[in-house]
Amino acid sequence: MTIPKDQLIKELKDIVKPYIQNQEAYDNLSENTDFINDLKINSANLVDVILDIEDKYEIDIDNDSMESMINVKNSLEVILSKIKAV
Amino acid sequence: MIGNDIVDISYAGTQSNWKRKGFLHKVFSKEEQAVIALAKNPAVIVWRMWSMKESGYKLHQRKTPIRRFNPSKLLCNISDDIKGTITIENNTYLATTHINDNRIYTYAHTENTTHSINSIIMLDNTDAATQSRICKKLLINKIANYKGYNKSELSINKDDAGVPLVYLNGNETNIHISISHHGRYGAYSISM
Repeated sequence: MTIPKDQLIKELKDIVKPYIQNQEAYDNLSENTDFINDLKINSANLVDVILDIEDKYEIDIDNDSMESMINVKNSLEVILSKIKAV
Repeated sequence: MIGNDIVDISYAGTQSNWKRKGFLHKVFSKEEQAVIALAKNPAVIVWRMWSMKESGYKLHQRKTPIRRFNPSKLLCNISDDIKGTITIENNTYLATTHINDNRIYTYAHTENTTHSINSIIMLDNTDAATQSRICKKLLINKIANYKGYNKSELSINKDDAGVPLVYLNGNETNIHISISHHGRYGAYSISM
């Protein structure tokens, strides 16, 4: 299964929506957006983002893979690599 | 070196569901999960260890300035109602936690950190940017008063790793600070 990057960013944007604390950064979300510095997602909710991603794509993200998922770009990479591995 | 973290207990209860499937596994080691499972009040232990991990992470960032998200790698050891340790990559830091019915505050420090000031602030506004601004303002006032500086000479800026640094007339100082805000609470810690 492959998902176009544009679609993946759009889906990720929907996933993070409940947790963001900076609307302007959210409206301008791009690959370079940082979950914590830009979207101001609190770190407990970052756990929810990861769990929501696991649920949505039916993938398992081990804690070592999770380590880099602090921004959109790295998260896309992890999601794509896990989807491919299925 | 220092790091701090505050958790508003009731806010955490509405914003995060730690009972959610998978949550504990993402955040805690097997040993920590066993401690939580045996606890009389698991929510307090969950957020206490969470605040220990957060404060330990902030401290460790000063030493190893790589940003990453893996709370399960910071291992908590609880000694008594207040004291504990946080271990990451062969570094062990000391943690002091103060808990009341409303909030949990942890202050992490290295053994050679002697003098520090910690302050907890009640905040009306829950907007993250406003909270951050209020905490920084109070922190600058505190340093200015303590050191006899003019507060207009002081500024705070984060480095690339997200570590807040204190500047005096544009020059980096050796004053270490940590800022945290959550729900109705803010907190700062200063070591100088």
